[in-house]
Amino acid sequence: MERTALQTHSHGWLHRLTRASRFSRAPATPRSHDVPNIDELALEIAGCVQLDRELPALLKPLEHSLGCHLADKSNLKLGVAVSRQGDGATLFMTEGGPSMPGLETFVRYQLNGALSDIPPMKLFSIPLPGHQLSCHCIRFEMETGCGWLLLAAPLALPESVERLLAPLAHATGRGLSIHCLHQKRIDDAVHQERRAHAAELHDSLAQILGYLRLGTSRLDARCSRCNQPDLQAIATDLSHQTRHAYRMLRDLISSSRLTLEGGSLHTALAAAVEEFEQRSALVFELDDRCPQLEPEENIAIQILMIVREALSNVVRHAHAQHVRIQLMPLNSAGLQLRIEDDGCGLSAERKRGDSFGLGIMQERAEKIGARLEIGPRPEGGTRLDLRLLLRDLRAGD
Amino acid sequence: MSILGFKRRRSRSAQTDPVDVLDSLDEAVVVIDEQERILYRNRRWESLEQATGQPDHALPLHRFMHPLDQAPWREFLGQLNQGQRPDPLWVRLPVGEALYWCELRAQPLYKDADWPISLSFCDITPQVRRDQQRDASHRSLNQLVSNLPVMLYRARNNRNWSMEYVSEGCLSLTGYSADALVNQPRLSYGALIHPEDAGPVWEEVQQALHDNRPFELYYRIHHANGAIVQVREKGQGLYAESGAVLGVEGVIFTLESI
Repeated sequence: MERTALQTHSHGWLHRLTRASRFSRAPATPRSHDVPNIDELALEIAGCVQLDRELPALLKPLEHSLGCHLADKSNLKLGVAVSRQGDGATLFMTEGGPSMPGLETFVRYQLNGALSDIPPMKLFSIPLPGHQLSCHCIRFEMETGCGWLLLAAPLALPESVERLLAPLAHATGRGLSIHCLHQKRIDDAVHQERRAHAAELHDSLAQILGYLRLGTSRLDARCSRCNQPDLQAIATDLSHQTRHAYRMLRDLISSSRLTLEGGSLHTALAAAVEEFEQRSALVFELDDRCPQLEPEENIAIQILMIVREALSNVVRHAHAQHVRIQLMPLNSAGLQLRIEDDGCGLSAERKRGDSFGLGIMQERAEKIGARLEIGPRPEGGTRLDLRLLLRDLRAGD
Repeated sequence: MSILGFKRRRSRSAQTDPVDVLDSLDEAVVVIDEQERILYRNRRWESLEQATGQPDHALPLHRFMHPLDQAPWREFLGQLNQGQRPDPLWVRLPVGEALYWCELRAQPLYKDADWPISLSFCDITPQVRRDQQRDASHRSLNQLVSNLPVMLYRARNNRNWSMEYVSEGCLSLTGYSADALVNQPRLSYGALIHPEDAGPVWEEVQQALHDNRPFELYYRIHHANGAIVQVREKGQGLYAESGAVLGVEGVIFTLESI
């Protein structure tokens, strides 16, 4: 029976399998407290659904076990960094425990520099500035990139701990490899499904709505010549609503087709800016100050759609020369997107709702729990601010 | 200023502290050690530090640079570490919401040691903005010309109509890419014109050039796919001040669908 259930519900099967295996092993003889239970680690990591929440929790007992080998357990922190093909590294550190100010920033910096190409499965140590500690690190390779096991601990590690780190890194690497491949399969399936929907919508509904849009607009124009106010009001409303529906459908189709180019908001943003650059004489300035902050894919797609809508408004309506797209960390607890141009500003007429684009942007922002404000830029032109809180992001800086 | 005042001032400036000179510069100057710790900062850098909201003197230099400039900066440092003198580096300094473009130059402070090094940051933001503006309008014009469903050209006034420039629209009109037609001895636009039309085309253009007026032509060309395409051309001569004909330029398009 259980076999059938596993086969029919492919999503999350790994997670359930690991939970089942954890449960079935629970009554087994407990291991000695000083040997972390690394046999199951690979399976547990592979079964994670949300890596950012589950991985630090999985590392915590291991950190505790490693601490048992040290005289001073209070100066210890375990972490894992993952870099998927070409992306910047995402860092997962255990929560709670000793506070080590500057640790994460230091590690991120070293991951991009000195630690980026150390030989795999060899232990390296870098002293942590401002602490009597070192960052001990083993790089491991995965099928979809590479990762690092990181241990902030006293400068000299006891041999018993050093011996444990290599198998730990190996198990983490295996688990993450499976997790990433599984995640990629799910993402690919979702994209394929979305694209199929978009194609269907484009071929059926969009054609009919397009026809209705032209028809109702013609009806509206005719009615305006008939001197029949009641009829005119209905025709105008019909034309307006049809245009709105058509616009929403086009938006839906383009967002279903949209994939994150390069797999990250930052590369996709650069690609979108480049695309708009090819179609206008505006200067586009992309100022991305938080390449390490990566929202979840669905959120990133919504942000990207807002950027595209805003940029297309600037190109079409703003009469601007310069537009700046700025991505900033927000009080180290979120992300702020600002798009501002030096154009003619939002006219009252466009604000009044003639433009559906502004409403759609607002809806998209609400969908991802972000705050969107569109208003005048103090020096002239328009400014759009989108603020998103950190809980929606994969990694903090 | 009286002569006495001038002399006094000169004698004072002869004893001027070099630090005052550095502080008077509009360029930011810092001296750093191998760990990027700032050992000296002039007044301009100090004011920048304050404006960034990071007045912590212990911060390493890279913390002031844009995240996306960290990689080139590390490469720059790597070259310095090997005792090389890298080319000036363009980096962005985020100051609040604003962004300054700086040209960064580095040299060892002492002749006999690689470290510490002195760095100067020269603000080139206005120059970068001008370049961006120029690039944007060039890019826009280029895109416009490339995307038009016509072939814009500038040619020499000879029977081959040797092309100096043709736009991308050439491909759909003739079946040949723009590169294949520009300054190529083996293929010329003249060879594509239908033999019966080549003579009248030449004569009509020469007559228009002689009369100093634009010309409008209808003729047939051979498309690369073997079809014969009816085209329409509007053009004019390119003249030197002396009146000599330097070439012809214009636009060619077809009303048929190819």
